[in-house]
Formats: sequence, structure tokens, C-alpha cells
Amino acid sequence: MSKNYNIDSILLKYESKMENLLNILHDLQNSHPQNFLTQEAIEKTAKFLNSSLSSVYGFAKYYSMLSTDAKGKFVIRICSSPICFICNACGVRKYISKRLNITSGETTADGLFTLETVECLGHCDKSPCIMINDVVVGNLSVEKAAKILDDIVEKSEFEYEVITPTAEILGEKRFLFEYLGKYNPTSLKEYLKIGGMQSFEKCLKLTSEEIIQTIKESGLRGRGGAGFPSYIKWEATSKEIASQKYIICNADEGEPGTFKDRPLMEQLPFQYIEGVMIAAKAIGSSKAYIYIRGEYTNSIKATILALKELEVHNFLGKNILNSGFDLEIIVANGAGSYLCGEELTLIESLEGKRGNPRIKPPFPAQKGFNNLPTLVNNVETLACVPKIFEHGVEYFKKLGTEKSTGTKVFSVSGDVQRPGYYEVELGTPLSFIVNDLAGGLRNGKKALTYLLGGAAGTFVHPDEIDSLIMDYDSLKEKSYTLGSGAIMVFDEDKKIYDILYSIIKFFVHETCGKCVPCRVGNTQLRSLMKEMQISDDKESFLNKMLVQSELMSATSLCPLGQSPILPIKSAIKNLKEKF
Amino acid sequence: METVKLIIDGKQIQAVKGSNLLQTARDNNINIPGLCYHKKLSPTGACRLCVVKVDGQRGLIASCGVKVEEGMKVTAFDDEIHNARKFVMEYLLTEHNRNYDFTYFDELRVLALEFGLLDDFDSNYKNLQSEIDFVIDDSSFVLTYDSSKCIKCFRCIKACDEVQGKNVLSFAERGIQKFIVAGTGKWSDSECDGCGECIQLCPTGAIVEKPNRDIINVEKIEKKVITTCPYCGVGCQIETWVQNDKIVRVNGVEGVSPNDGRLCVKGRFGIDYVNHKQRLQTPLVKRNGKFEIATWDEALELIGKKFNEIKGKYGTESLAGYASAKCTNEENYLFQKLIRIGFGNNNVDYCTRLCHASTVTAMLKSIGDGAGSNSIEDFEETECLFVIGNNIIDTHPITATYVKRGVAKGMKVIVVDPRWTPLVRYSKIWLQPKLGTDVALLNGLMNVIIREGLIDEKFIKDRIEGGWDAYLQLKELVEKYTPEYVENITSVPSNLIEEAAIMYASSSTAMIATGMGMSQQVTGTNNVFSLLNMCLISGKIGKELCGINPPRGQNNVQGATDVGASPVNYPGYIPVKNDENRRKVANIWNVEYESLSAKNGLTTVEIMQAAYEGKIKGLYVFGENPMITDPNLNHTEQAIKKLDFLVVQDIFFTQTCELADVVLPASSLFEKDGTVVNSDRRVLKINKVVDCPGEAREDWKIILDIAKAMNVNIGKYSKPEEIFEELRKVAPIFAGINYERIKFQGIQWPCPDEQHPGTSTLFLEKFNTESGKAKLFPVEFYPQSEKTSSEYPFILNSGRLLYHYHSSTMTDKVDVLKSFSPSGFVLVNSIDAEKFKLQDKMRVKISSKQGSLETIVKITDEVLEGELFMPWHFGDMQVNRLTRDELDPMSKIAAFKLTAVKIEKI
Repeated sequence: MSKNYNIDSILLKYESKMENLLNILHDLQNSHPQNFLTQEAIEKTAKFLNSSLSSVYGFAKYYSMLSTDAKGKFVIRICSSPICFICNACGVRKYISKRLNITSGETTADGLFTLETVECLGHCDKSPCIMINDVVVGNLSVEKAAKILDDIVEKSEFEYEVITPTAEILGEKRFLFEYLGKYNPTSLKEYLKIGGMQSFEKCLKLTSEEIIQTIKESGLRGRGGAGFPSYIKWEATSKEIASQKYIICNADEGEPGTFKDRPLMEQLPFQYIEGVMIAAKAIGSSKAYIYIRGEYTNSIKATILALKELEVHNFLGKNILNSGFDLEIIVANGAGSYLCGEELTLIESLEGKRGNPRIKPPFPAQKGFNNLPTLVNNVETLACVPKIFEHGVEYFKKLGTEKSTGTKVFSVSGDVQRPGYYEVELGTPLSFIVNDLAGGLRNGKKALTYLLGGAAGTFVHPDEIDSLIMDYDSLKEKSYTLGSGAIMVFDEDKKIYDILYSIIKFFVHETCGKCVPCRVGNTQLRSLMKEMQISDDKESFLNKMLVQSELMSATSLCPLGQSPILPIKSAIKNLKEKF
Repeated sequence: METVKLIIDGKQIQAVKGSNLLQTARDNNINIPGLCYHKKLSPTGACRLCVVKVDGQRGLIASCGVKVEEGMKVTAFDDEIHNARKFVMEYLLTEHNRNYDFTYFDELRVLALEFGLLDDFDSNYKNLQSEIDFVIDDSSFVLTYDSSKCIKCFRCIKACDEVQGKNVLSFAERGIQKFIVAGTGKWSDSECDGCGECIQLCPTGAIVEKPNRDIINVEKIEKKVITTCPYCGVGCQIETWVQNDKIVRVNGVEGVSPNDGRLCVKGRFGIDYVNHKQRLQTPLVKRNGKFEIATWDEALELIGKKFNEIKGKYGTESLAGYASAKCTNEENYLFQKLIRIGFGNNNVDYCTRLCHASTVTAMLKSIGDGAGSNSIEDFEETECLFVIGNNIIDTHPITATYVKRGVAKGMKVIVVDPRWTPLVRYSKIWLQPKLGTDVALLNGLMNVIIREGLIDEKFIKDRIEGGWDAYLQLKELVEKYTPEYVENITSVPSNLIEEAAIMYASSSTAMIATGMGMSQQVTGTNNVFSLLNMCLISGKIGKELCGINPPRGQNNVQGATDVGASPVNYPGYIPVKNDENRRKVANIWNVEYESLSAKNGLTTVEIMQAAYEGKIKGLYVFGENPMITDPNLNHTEQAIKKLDFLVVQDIFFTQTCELADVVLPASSLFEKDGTVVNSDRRVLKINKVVDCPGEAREDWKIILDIAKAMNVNIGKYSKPEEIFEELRKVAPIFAGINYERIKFQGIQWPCPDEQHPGTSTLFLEKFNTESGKAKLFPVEFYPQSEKTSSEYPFILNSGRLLYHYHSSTMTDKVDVLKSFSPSGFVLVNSIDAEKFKLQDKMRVKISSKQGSLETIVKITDEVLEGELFMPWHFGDMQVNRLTRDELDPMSKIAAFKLTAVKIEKI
């Protein structure tokens, strides 16, 4: 694993634009034998980008995947999401830590290993998991960890399983996943054979209005979490007149317990890219970015390969298929910031800035990337688009409920028999997903709670499982959130305190610190939880947390500060006596 | 602008549509709290203290991020809002170190007091300070950053980026652990140039000034006086804080032109000299070759006697005076009056001759005015800016902030400079011609402009003397200057010449900033003619946001010439040679018309040459230091030594004082009242802040004293305002200006009457030539007479630095500035360094035919191969020992920019 490290030649691969900063720094860091950004690298990058030192240094100091300190040859990142946190990642971490004789953030004396913790790696179906350099290893046990470390020490390499698509389970409705596992994910030829790109070719002949009308009629709602009707953003962006418009595909899947976009990118990259292409045609954009979270190395690889294939065959580039339509798609690698999944923060990040949210309005449709009109859509939303054109609006509308049309991929994790991603029609009961598809709880245990929607999600009372219907409006009526479609299941042996603590800890780590309530509030909440643990009067602490998180929500700048109230309020409502 | 009506807390308010709600409320005395908002900055939305309710919108909304709309109903104060704000304030205080040492104004503290949260209150929330890793960065020369006092409001970051265009600051880390970093984490290693904008905008004690921190107590400030910065020609308005009769702090004055609160490192921190122990405090008289302390009476009597003796013995042409670009209009006015009436000649000039004489000569001939045609603010608004021979970021840092802000909004900058200057970073195109090839380059640019059909035909026909025919002559001359031909002469790639020409001429508005790089050559006047030709045929003058601007180097270069410190003009650019003018002036001055000389006086360098030839016997040097600033210093020194009598009036014992017979202790700009004129012709008020030290006197009083000692009547004045009132009568350009009108904000001349608002752009209707039209002066390129040889293989360029001013008499006394820039150096191209085996920081000897000096090598790619650059400020590395006194025949400016030299290891 010898690395050639030449800063100048790395920089020369890129255009001198701030939007390349993410990729440049990843490249410089990965090329360095000690996996870090040297002072020289930062200085040269600043000069290359005609920017200031602090704009590069401050940027590097924001993202948790970027480092200005030398690291080991092998960087081991241990997932500390709520799922991995309670499913023995601690045990694995303790083992690794003891074996290497270092704690998180340290490097072994021989410079071989660095140990770090990382927020949810998006492989909760294989919990507990760790990441070694750019490879995720799941279903980890102490024995497995020992074998890996042995191999690295002896051979400087280790064995890991290649992630394969999961087979359909009876009761699923595979619409997005119709061809999952049925062709080579990065072969355009095979994608074309199953009818791929026909939707795009169809759209090349349609007007912008016609495409948007189809999306409007389909009732498609944004799958990123908010469930906002997609056509509204498309229409708003298409109406703007500007020298350049942008599409950004939000592939920064970072909500703990969520791993629905990952299979779409790893296994079906052409499909969601086709969605990007149709969206670009619809709003009149010739440049698109796919912002993929940095930890999703397989998604990044698959997407880049797919894009290359598309370029070679003139599905991308200039005058696509002689239609006169031009489109360039660029992949940007995130670098470890949950907040960058928020659309305006993502735009800041893509512009080469620290991940601070912007004041809204203006909305991206008016002033987005580089202050130009920008459409930001989630991977799953975009993956729906070619399928809608393939099967027709009527077919899509028949799926799901009247107001929540289509299917949804749910990520089920935690104490169930078969953790994994399941695609069902919107409006499917929660009990069906958990008990039928995921096989119910393991070892005959009872459920403590179900956490819906991730960290910024809501705890469900175990008795409520049968009455919950999984669509946007039904859940909202009951003050629950569908969010990203994460369903985290915890059995009776787990403690609500531990789960909530890991969530608050997550927010403390992820708050950018721009606005006061979120910056201070999350640390205040964590400190209240610490005090509560040793107090007999749990209720008074829970009340304080409720009051403060409510004020945080009322005064914060962006959705992150408005998030802690969700798990706190629902935990108090449904699980107060379990604290 | 569309106005809208809105209601805030029941109050009807009118505002411009789309303006900021928080600012609108505050402008109407509804004082919504807030810490991250500042009217100079884009809204941030970080502190959340400005939350309000807006009818029809859900929840609380930060008013700093809201634009006002028609019919908007806003609740700014109610219990719920108050509770939310108090919650945020309390939260903020849990992460904040509240120790206060009275060395800064603390907005957070004031606000905490309003919420009843000052000092020991019973907080609802846990103190989090133990969970935060606070950092202190004390490495900067000018400030200390303490993250325990930092509220992460972004104001410093935006001050540096949006206001000053430097972008030196950012955050490191995130969440509650984040803190401010400069560069890559250490202030002193960053690009920070010490302007202190971040200090001025910091609402807490996170970033505090270092100088005087040991003595300042903001509650013991005796007075705050607004005056004009004593340094460069931008004329920044400063507020000085006085404690124990000493200036302890300087801030920029917000909301006032030309600087809107911005300052540079010299303006904010360059005040130590005022109170410096080396200030001259008594007159000194040289007896038997040694200076002795003298009384004012003794000194003045001697001066009166000596000047009169010389005048009697050698005639009226034997005396001369150097006026001062650092003193006020009133003082320079009196000075020239003394020369003309008392000395009886017109031998008055000053260092302007060394800076922009050629520019002014060319501009006067071509467009009738030597002053800048635009306002400093225009540097932000024009579409294209052509900067030639002008290191604007270092020499006019605040004008440069306008440029950088313009660039952020899309302005295109073209830099023409043989040396890399920091503006290159902000430019679209940098043309790097070989030294002394400017005429060829400019002719080449015109060649392209003509070829591409980008000339302004209507402008040429309507506003140029000779119209189309004059243009055809120029066209014929530049025909051979094809980009390829010019590339051979200048080494600038032909494609860049084409790009720059097209960019300049095709922009709807374009301005030129020219500087010493153009003027300080033997072809200086021709350079500027050529530049004006390009400007005129493109029609990029005579309308808003178009024109040509030579920013002035010192605080009152513009004013000193305006008020008649000139061998050829009376105050207000009235030629001395004109009989009628002389009668008019004599009448106002109440002297015999015949007593005023009808002959043009000698210019700065001519005075020195005349002294060398024994024609000038007595010299009165008023606030100048020719022993650093004049070319060919060895020759200057010999000339001064030949004088019978030399009087130097200064605030420090300068290199020139050494050679004087009498030295008079004068006043700094903080010790008197008066006015100055900045680079955009703005007449600005100077206000007295402190008293002169010891027996030092205000300069206008000294000039009157000398007149009295010579038995000459130049008028009676009890205060500077009376001098200005007389000046208004003599110089029509100032006629409408009085002290009352410029109390808060300067006025740009010409201002013909008291109702006139002043003139922001010159030549909108006509040029100031006799015909009212501009003139083209086609010029050919001639290779420079000064050439390299095998003995002197390098061409030396000279120039200025941000941290020093003029001959550094003042800046040399300021610790902060000396820390940033302790000594001189020579820039050497890396290829030359290799060729001549030179290393960084190596001491070398540089010699020309005129002389030699020792300095330190800095290896860089900022200069071309075969060229060197040295700053000329430093007394111990006097660059002008090397320069030639060959003059531009038309303007008599010396060729500071181009000297053949050799470089030797020591």
C-alpha cells in the first residue's frame, strides 16, 4: 500500500474552483501515507484556489473525516450510532482499544493504527460495524475484530465481505427495487437491456411543463424526510431565469438508523442518476452535483463508474443523444457532517465552506448553489422519477395511499430477526414491516420501543405498533414522524436512557454551533442527562429537558436545533416510567 | 426605490421595500436586541436575540433575516418574545467567561444588564465553561483573541471578509468547542495585516487591541474626538479616545465617507509617534557645528535675520521653500503666501513633484484637472477597474477595500504591474510588462481597442478637441503596435493584451487607477498621456463611474497643491504667470501687485540643483525630509551642504535636520485644527485632540512667527478657520465650503457656492481645458535611456509598503508597525538568485552609478528576472542613494522607478 504523494500533481487534476475543495482535500488526505492534511497541503490548496489559508484550514477543521494531524496507516472508525452503541460496538471498541493500547483519537506508536469513533455508518443492518480506511466491516464480533487486526499486522491487508443486495421478501412491494440484484450495477449495457434510460429518452422529447406535470400528477413527495410535494420545487426552479441552474442530488444519508439510499446507489446507480438527468431536463439545468456522504465509499465508486459509462455513451456531456441537451454530473464527497444533509447547509458545503446553515428564505430554487437557482432532491425521490415514467402515473398512484403515493424504503434495524431495508407501499402498517418483513423481535423478547425517523425521530409506545400506518399524514396526525424511513427496534433489555443519551450525544457532535440555542442547548441537554442518571428525581430533569428543547426549537436557525424536542417529547410521553 | 408601510408594535413605519427588518426597527428607535447583526455586514442569524413575530408566519423569526414588505405587521416586544430572548442570553452566558477588565466596550455586558443577567444572577442553566477547551491566541502584534469571551457571532469573520476583503479568519472545530482561527491557527503566521476591523466589530472582549491595553480604562476616557487620519490620501475619518491627555485608542467612524468605519493598520495603530519621547520639544540652533537648545525668540530672530540677509545679498531668487503634504491646507496656504510675499518669488514646491507631477502635468494638458475624477466609493461600483503602476492594497488600503468588495460583486480588475502586488489575487488579468515599457503596452491596448471596433465614436466626435481627425492621428500612430509587436517589447503575451483591451473597452463603465509606477519615470508624462488616450478613445471618462484617478500618497498631497504650494499656480490652480490673476490675488492679499513675482518658481528637484549650483542660498523646509525622499541622495546631500542657511520645521529630528541651521519643533496632525483634501478632492476636517508637547507649536503659528521675524505682513489670524475663510475667496474651487458644512462629512471640490453639494465625478459636462474638450497626445514608445550593462545587470524598481509612510519618520516610532516591518529588503527573482548564488536573508551590497547601500535579500517570484524591487522608506537603507536625478522633461519628476544596479554578496 505504498502511496505516491505529490501535492502539485494532485491539485492539477482539479479546476481551480472552491466547489472542488471537498474532493481536493479528500484526495490530498488519502494520498498521504499518514492519512492527513499537511500544513503544506493546506497552503498549496489555498494558493491553488486563490483563496485564503483560513478558508481551507477552517473548512478542514469542520469536517470530521478530514484531519490536520498525522494518522496511522489504518484508520479504524467505530460506529457509535444508537444501534451500534447498544448492540455491542462498545465491546468491540473496548477490545480494539485494549489490544492496540490506544483510545479514540490516538495513533499507535508504530504508526499503523488510528482509532476513532464515527457517527452512524449507515450499515445498521450489519450492526455493529466499523470502518477501516474506506471499507466498512459489519456484523462484527470480538473474534472477527481480532482476526482483522491480526491480518493487518501480518499482511497489511484484511478480508471483508462484499456487500450484496438482499433478496426480496414476501410482502415487499419492489417498485424502486424492481431490478435490484438483477443486473450488474455498473454495466450500462445491462441497464439498457432491462429498459433503462427509456424514461430519460422519453423526457428528452417532452417539454419542461410536461415533465413537471407528470411529477405533479404522480403525487410524488420528497423522500428525504419532510415529505414535501416534489413538483413544487421543480416548478419553482424551472420558472427562474438564470445563466445557470443546478441540480443537487442529496446523497448525504446521515440520519442514524437510515440506509435506504445506500442500496439505491450501490446496486442501482443508473436508476437514480436517470432521475437526476430527467430533473435536469425538466428545470433546464446543464450541471448537476451528487453530494454523497464520505463514508459511503461503495456508493461513490458505483456512481462514478456509472457516470463514466454514461459519458462514454453520450447519455451525458454535450448534445446528449443529438437532442441538443447538455448535462454534466459531478460527484462531491461529503466529509463527515450530519448537518450537511440539510439542503442549504449542503449547498454551503458544496461551495467549499464550513457546514453552516443559511438563513431561509431565499430558498434554493431562487438562490441556491453559487446563488443561482438550484433544485435539491433526495436519492430516493430521484430514483422514483424514471420508474414513474416507466410504469406511468396511474400505476404509481395506485401504490400507496391517496395522499402518500408510491412506495417507501424502510430501514429496519436493532433487535429484530432480519434487520434490513424493505420496500413497501406507503400506508403499510408498522407491525407488518417489523413483525412480518423483519421477522419480529429476536429471542422472543418484547419491545421497549420503536424509534421512527432516526435521531431526529420519535419514540413509539410498544402497544401502539398495531395502530400505526406508515404514511406521511397518518403518522403526523399521531405526532410521529416518518422522516427518512428509519425504524429502530429496541427490546425490553435496552434502556431508554441509553438510547436518548446516544441521540443527544450525537446532536452535541453534529451541531455546527452557528446559532446559540442549538450550540449551547445540546450540551445543556447532555449535561442534564448526566445529572439525571445519578438523581432520584428523574421527572424534574425530564421536565427541564422538555422546556429547554422546546425553547431551542422555537429559537433555532435550522432543523437541527428543532430536532431534540422530537425524541425527548415522545420519550417522555410514551416511556417516562422507564427512565 | 419602492417604499412600503409596515407596523411594528403598533407604530406605522415607512421603509424601502426589501430593507432589513431589524435595521428598519432600529432606525425607528425600536431597539430590538441583537449581537451578531451589524449594519455593515450581511445578516447571520446566529445569536437569535432579534427574534420577533410576524403576522401570518409561524413561530418566532429572527428579524435580521427578514426583508420588509408592504403591510407587514410585526411584534417586536411581548412576554413570549422577551422570555425567548432571555433564554438565549442566559444560554450564551453559560459558555461565556464574564470577567471584565474595562479595556474594551462590551456590547454583551450592556445587553446582559438590560436582561438583569449581569454578574451574580441565579441562572436556570448549568455553567458549561468546564466542558469547553478555551484557547487564547496572543501571537498577533495588534490583538489578543480569547475564545472564552467569544460568542461566535461571525462579526470578526465577516468584518475581515465582507468589509476588508481579506478573509483571514474562520472557525476551527464545531459546536460548542468552536473558536476563531486566523490562517492555519496562529494569528502571527496568517495573512492578517493588522487592520483591526475585527476588533472594531467584536461585540465582546474576544478580540481586543493589544497596544495600550495596560493603561486603557474605557470608563476613564476623557474625550473622543473625530478627526482625519494623518496617513495616506484616502482621508479616513477616525475617532480618537483620550485618556490622561494621551491618545489611547483609534476607531474608524461608522457611516461616514470615505471609509465607513474601516481603517488600515497605520490608521488604527500608527499613533505612538504623537506621544513619542523623541518628539522635538524646543527649537534647536546650530552653533559651532553643534545643535543647542534655543528659545523661540532666539530661533525666530536668527531666521528672520538670515533670510533677510540672504535676500539682500543674493536677490529674491536666492530663497526657496519646501511645503508639506502632511500639514493642513491652512498651513500650506500660509506657507506659499510667505514664500510669495516674504521671499518674493515662487520657489515653493514639495514632494508632489516626486510622486504625481507627471500625472498632473499630463492630466492638466489633456483634461484640464490633475485630480482624481471619481469618488473613492466608485471603486466598488464600476464594472471594470484598470489599475496600472499602483499597488493599491498596500498604499491605499481603504480604497482597496472598495475594490475588493466590488470584485466580490463581479467587478473585473485588470492589473498592470511589473511586480506582483496583492491585488493580482483579486484580478481577472495581470499584465506584467518589463520596467519602462508602459507606452508600448498602452499603445498596444489601443491598437486592439481600435481593431475590435470598441472605440466610442460619439465621444470622440463630441468631446475631443479636433474630433475624428485627432483620433485618426492617434490611430495612425498606434497602428504598428500590434499585440505581437508589443509582446516583443514588453514581454506581455499578446493574447493577454487582447483580452485586457477588450475587457476594459467593452465594459459599460470602467475606471483607471494610476500610480507611481507610471509617474516616476523619465517618460512619466508620456506614460500618462498614453493612458489618457486609451481612456478617451474608449469614452471611459466624462460619465459616472468612469474616469482616471491618481490616488494621493500622503494625507494632504492633494490639498497642498490645491491651496497653492506650487511654483506655477496660486491657490485653486490659478497660474502665477497671468497678470490678471496676480492682480486679483494681490488685491485679496492686500499687497502691491508688482511685489508678486511673475516668474514660475523652481520645482523640488530644481531647487536642489540650484542649491548645488549656488543659486539657492537659503531654504525653509516645512515638514519634509528630502534627505530620504529626493533622488540621487548623495547629490542632494552635497547640495544642502552648500546652502548658507537651512531651516527645518518638523516633529522629529529627521535626516534632513542634521544638515539644518535651525530646527523648529512643530505639531502633529492631532495637535491643531484645520482641513486637508483627500484623493477624491474631499475637503475634510482636522480637529485638535491633544496639545503639542513641550514648546512645540502649531505649524500655522510658526509660519506667522517667521513672517513676523522677517518683518513681512502675511495677514493676521487668530485661528485656522480665519485662514480657510480667506482661502475660499482666493480659490474658487473651495468657495462654497466652510467649517460648519464639513463638521460631520467632507465635501468634494469643486464646490462653487454654499448651496452646492460638491462634485463626486468630474467632467460630466465638460473638461476643464480652455475649449472644454479633452485633448489627445499621441506618443511613441522610446526605450529607456537607463539600460543594464555587464557591470550593472539589474534594473531596480522602488516603492512603498503598507506598514510605512513616506520617509518613515512617523511609522518608525510606532512599535506595532516596526514589528510588522522591521527593515528594508530587496526582492530578487528566484532564477536570478540561483544565477548569482544569493540566498534568502543574505546581506548584500547594491550599487548604481550614483551610490551604494547594504540590504537583505528576499527571494520571490513577485519580480521578473533581471529586475529588483526595494521599499524606499528606510533611513538605514536609503534607496535614493542609488536613484538618478534625471528628470522627465515635461513634469520634472525624477526616475525613481528605474535604476541600473549590481548586486554583490558581502
